[in-house]
Amino acid sequence: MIDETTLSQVEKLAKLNLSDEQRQLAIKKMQGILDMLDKIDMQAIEGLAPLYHPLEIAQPYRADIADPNIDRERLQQNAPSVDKNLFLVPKVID
Amino acid sequence: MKYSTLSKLQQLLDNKAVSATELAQDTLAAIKADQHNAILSTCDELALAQAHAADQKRANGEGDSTALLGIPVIYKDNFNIKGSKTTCASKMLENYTSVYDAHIVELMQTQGSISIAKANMDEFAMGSTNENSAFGAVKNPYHPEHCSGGSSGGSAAVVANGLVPIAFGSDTGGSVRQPAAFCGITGLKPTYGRLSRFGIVAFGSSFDQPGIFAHTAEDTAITLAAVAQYDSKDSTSVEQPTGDYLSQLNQPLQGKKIGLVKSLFERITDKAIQNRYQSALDVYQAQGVEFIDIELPNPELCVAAYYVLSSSECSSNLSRFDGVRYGHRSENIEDLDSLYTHSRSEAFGEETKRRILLGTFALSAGYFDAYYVKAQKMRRAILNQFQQTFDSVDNILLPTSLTTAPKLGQDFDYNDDMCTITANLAGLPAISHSVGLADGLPVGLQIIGKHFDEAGILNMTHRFQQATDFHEIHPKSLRY
Repeated sequence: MIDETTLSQVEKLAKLNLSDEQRQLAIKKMQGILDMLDKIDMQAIEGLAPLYHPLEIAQPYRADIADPNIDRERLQQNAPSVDKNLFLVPKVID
Repeated sequence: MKYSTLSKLQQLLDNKAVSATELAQDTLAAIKADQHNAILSTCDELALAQAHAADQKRANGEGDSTALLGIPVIYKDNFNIKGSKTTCASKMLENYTSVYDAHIVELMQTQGSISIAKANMDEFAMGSTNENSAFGAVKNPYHPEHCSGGSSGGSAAVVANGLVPIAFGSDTGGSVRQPAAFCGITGLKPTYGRLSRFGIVAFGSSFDQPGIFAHTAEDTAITLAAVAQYDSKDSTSVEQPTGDYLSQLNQPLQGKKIGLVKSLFERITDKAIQNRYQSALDVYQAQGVEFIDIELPNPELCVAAYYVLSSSECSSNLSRFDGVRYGHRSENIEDLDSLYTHSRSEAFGEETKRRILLGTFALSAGYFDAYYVKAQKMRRAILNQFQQTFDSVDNILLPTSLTTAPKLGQDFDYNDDMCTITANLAGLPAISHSVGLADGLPVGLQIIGKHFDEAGILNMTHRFQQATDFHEIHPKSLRY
């Protein structure tokens, strides 16, 4: 059951805040999906293994050799704040 | 050249009726004049350099056997093209410049195609009407007050408007097939694993599959053959031989067993749409197919399972947008936690936030078994039912959508995706092709095939298009 308290907990986990106007619609839409899922007849799926992937394939191995990577300078051109090749964030420990 | 198919443009290029440079310049000019909000950015410099190289190759006699040499192509804005903006129609990536090419882009460019522009979409590919784009909705080519469909609405609109013969999109729950239907063109979602997802910004990784928009099955087959290659950079790319898509296009349909999902056709209430479908089924019947009524699992339950699972994968995939390495960073930050929370809250749109929250909830302690695992078991039941059905039929026919393109601003419910999501849940290939107009808006019919039988659904579509001319109907875009 999604209520205001649950939604607030999930917002914390997801590092996201909804505005007051967005909250009611979010609760309604999320609850709508969960209500539909509750209608699944448990007997119909009992004993079935969860399907995590649509194709039953094994992931192939490759030789343990490093591929050339994209150079750091080019990658960091998209970063909001960089200094001496490092991503800058607010101080974590005083 | 507007509305030309890939095959027709190839002839014009080979006969020197037009050069690749002229074609690229014309296409860029047409895009800039277009009023549908279908394009988010153009790749002028790259496109003109590629076109110049294509002209030189052709002049040196290297080009005639390469189907894609000089052909302009547009990509949904979640495909990375090195040096171009890739925004996913989100404020989060508004200023992001790609640092590498998606595998599909690389293959297309190696074969001489011209990367012209990036198409509008629902933010991070979440939506069915393109109204979740941070940069405004795409207008339907047949009526500007209606949506183009989603999430690959821009890619569908540019092909329908005749700007390019081919465009790429991505299909997580119907995002290629449904906009193809709403815009009156052909849209293919291949089998999961058939095309590489490398370089396409992820939404739901066990569902996402790149797809192709074109006017015809023939153009789709040519393009699919060009990009259906194993990619070691995508761990779910499948090392499976590709079909001979082109040579099988014209196989007779006589004796094919086709499953009809009657319960979905019966949900359609609009008489004009019902008539379009009946006429289309008559065309197939005249070619000798045998229809067998079949049932798929309860569509509403499939919708619920799909939204729980795809949202769970989305919550995981979109956690990478944290305001640290790329993307929007809030200016209103006190500590690391507020950097994450404010950056994400300011930049993600409302629907994206809802899906991240639904997925986070379904994956959280205490709810994981009740929702996530239950939905995965439902997914197994859906795959099992498809496998049983394919013991007795070759292909499955069903509507692509229960309606034509809704008006912009009209409420579009998650249940409206019920016709398309089952193919994604089971990883099956599916295609939508136009069966004509109902009250001036296009109607699409969907065909689902067995895993890796893209050749079969392309064959069905091609035979239909040989017997009809719906794929030659074009919107009179310049009327407004």
